[in-house]
Amino acid sequence: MYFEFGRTLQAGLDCAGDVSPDQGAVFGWVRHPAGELPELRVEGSPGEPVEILLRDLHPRRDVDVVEGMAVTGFSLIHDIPRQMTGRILVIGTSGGPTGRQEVAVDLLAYDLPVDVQAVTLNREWGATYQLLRASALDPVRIGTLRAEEGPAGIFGDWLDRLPRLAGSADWFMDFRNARARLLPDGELVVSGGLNMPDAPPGRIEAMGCAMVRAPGGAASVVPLAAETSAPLEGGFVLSGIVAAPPGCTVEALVQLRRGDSAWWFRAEATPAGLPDFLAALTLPGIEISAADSGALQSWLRGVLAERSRALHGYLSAMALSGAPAGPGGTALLFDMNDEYAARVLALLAPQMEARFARIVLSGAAAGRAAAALMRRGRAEVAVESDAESALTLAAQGGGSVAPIDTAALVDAAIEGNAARLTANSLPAGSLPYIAGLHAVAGTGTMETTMRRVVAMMAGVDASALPVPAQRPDPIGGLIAEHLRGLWEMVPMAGAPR
Amino acid sequence: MSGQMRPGGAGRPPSVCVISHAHPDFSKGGGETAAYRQYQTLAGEGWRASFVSAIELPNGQSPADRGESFARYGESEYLYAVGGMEDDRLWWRSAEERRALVRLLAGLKADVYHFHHYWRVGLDLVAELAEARPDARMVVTLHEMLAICSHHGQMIRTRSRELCRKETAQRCLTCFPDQTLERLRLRKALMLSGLRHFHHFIYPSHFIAERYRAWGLSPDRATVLENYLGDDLLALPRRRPDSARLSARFAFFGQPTEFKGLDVLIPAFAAAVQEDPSLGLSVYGATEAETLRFFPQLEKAIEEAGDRLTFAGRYDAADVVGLMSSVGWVIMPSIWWENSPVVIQEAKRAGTPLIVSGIGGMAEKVQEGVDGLHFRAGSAPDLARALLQASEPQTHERLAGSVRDVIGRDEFVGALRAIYAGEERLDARAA
Repeated sequence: MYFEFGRTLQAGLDCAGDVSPDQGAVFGWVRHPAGELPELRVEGSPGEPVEILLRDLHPRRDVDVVEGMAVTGFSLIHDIPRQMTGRILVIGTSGGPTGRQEVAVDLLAYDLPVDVQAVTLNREWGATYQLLRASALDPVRIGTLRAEEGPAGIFGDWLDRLPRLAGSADWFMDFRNARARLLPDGELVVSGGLNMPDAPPGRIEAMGCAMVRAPGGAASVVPLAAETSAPLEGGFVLSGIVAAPPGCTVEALVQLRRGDSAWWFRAEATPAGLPDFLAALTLPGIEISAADSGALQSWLRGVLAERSRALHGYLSAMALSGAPAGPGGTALLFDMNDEYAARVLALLAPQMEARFARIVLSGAAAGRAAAALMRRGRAEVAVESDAESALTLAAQGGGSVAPIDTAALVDAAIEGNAARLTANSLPAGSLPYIAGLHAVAGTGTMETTMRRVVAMMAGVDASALPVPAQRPDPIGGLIAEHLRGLWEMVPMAGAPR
Repeated sequence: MSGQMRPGGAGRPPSVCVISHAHPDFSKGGGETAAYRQYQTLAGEGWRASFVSAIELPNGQSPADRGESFARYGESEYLYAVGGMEDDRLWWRSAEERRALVRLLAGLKADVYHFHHYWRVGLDLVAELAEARPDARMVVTLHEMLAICSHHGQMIRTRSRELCRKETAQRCLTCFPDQTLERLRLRKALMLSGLRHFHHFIYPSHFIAERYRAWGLSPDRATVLENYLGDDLLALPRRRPDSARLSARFAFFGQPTEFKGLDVLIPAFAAAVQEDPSLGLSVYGATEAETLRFFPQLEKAIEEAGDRLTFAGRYDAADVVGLMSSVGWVIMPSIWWENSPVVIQEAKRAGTPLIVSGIGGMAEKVQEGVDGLHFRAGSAPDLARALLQASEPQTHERLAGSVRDVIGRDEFVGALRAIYAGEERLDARAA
């Protein structure tokens, strides 16, 4: 509903309703002199203001702007005290050459829409997005996400309308190679290259929040901690940290603005290993301008430095010191991928059985290796589908666990010294460190991480170990430097190779 | 492993089971021939001996008429099928067939299990038998270097045919670029782990013993012992050759294969015969057509050699000593190492001096200027020089007079008895 208060102040009210019995919402816009910002408050009766819980101002490009004027959209969420009888919106301008103005609109006197959810569905998407994001930042105070309609509150229907990126896509909206990735510790990245060759110059401004859905179905919209985005013209990279317990599905809820263009979408983040995550930070496969490349490098350097700082305490506190163990522990052979490795293990079976009560195996040839050991029946043997599961199982047994990679098995076999296999054992309780290390600093699969741990406990310098092949440019160098730095933070020791 | 037992007890010879990758009734390789001669010799000495060998019949058929994986083949001989093995014939795909063979071997109740290969035997079988019979002594004769080198055990670089003097995974990777370093190291780990189940290693030459030592097998449980040529060849009379008549008569015994050096010998002979038309060369083991099929580039040299070069075709192994006695020199021009060539033994049995490539087992078994001449391996001009030098009757007479006979039965059996008894390292007859 349109209100004309004079040549320099007009307003449009989209909605004045209740979010919940104790919170109300007023949505609309104000046309006001350029260079000023509107002042907005709600009163229960004249002169009795109620608490504004959220005052969100945003652009309204769907409203005409006349010369010398500007349009500011607004979303107000206000308290509804028990004794409140009326509902008045007071709109003011801050002054300037035209002088201070203030008008009051009795919201109950007009037939304004009261269904907040319905209005939310049909508002300008930027306005809705900003309210959503602001709500996510303070969900305890603001009730818009707590409505009875569903986990996303008044935004549920609107979110269903958003374009959806499922992990990654070669083409998505106006973007190429779009992807969303999530690390186990909640680090999230969404990126893509803009495919608008004729677009006028302008940087993309990205912002996000996330929908976290637990395995049982409960969902919540949460903000991105440490949110940051690369200042690029030809693409976007948005990253942040989501508080998401393990096993949750995470969807980034993203807004991108570039000049007069804007995009809103939801992107289901694929759980990823660190290399894949880091790759998503670097817009791989997308040709970007030299200016963008420089901007990306600069931004990435800062992001990775901050990441290193944030992880330093965690990584440097890890206790991964291998020590000799007596008989009766667990052998964790996590990369039995080669048929020959299975054969070597079979030939060393008597020595293994003398040293270990339990043998946990994973890898493509693990089944074959296990069959030979099981046939003998002298040690408890378990086969897991992958190194992650094998690590978890090994940690459950208590006692000492000797992680043994193929290289260590080969060393022991060639030297004829099976005692080496127990030389760098770990207490079972410290194995979760390896999983944690993999989550934040893994350079490939869990097998790769465990091989690095075994190598470093055997005295191999972390800087000598390979990092995954990244792009052969300075950006790739930054990634490699970051990974090496992380591994150098982890104190590891053990018997040398 | 340590060999603690003293098989046989006071005075009584141990019972020995000889296990071979093949039976000489079906193939004529040096390894299986040596294995079978050993079995025959021990049996002839009155020892309780048995011979168990692999056989690959067409379409993977069983050697037994009811489909069993092994069959009796004579009083104390058995044949076993290898269809249950992996394609590389180093491991058993079928644990059941392997176990059946272990049961057969263990059931023979031998004091000593003497293997003559691990290919077509299975490293896993060796390990399982060692566990099943911890009281028995496990011995292996290593006739070749398959464990060390993936290139058919020949230690020749795959691309350049250059001789390889040392195994490292990195060097091997340049020969087999489709492999990985880890895979090559795994192969070595597999081989060493398997071979360490043996209590004792027998090498037919110092050359091969040194290669295995450098590769990682302990020399403390090893003996260099020449293969026994067998009673039949040892029974043949040994005559002093007539140097005046034979000094210019040369012979080659072998197949026209890639590494036997026939493509070095024939051009060398063609060159030498230009200088001395009285020279003659006989090639035993190949026809001219077979030779040209393998080495078409030899056509010109064969033409140049004219009627001084003759191709005698195949020969019976029983006739070899007689044939060698009929020539002045036996030439072994192999371009690979040759570990312990039976041709050299046979020539020595015949009393015929040799001209050999100066490398590996050939250089060890034939002493330059004592019982033969060396030339630079692969060098036709140097071989031509050696041929001309050898054709002088006084040279032949001097060297033929120094050719020692091969190891005799008593010495061979005595060495085996000591090895089986677990005596300390021996250095038995190696040449």
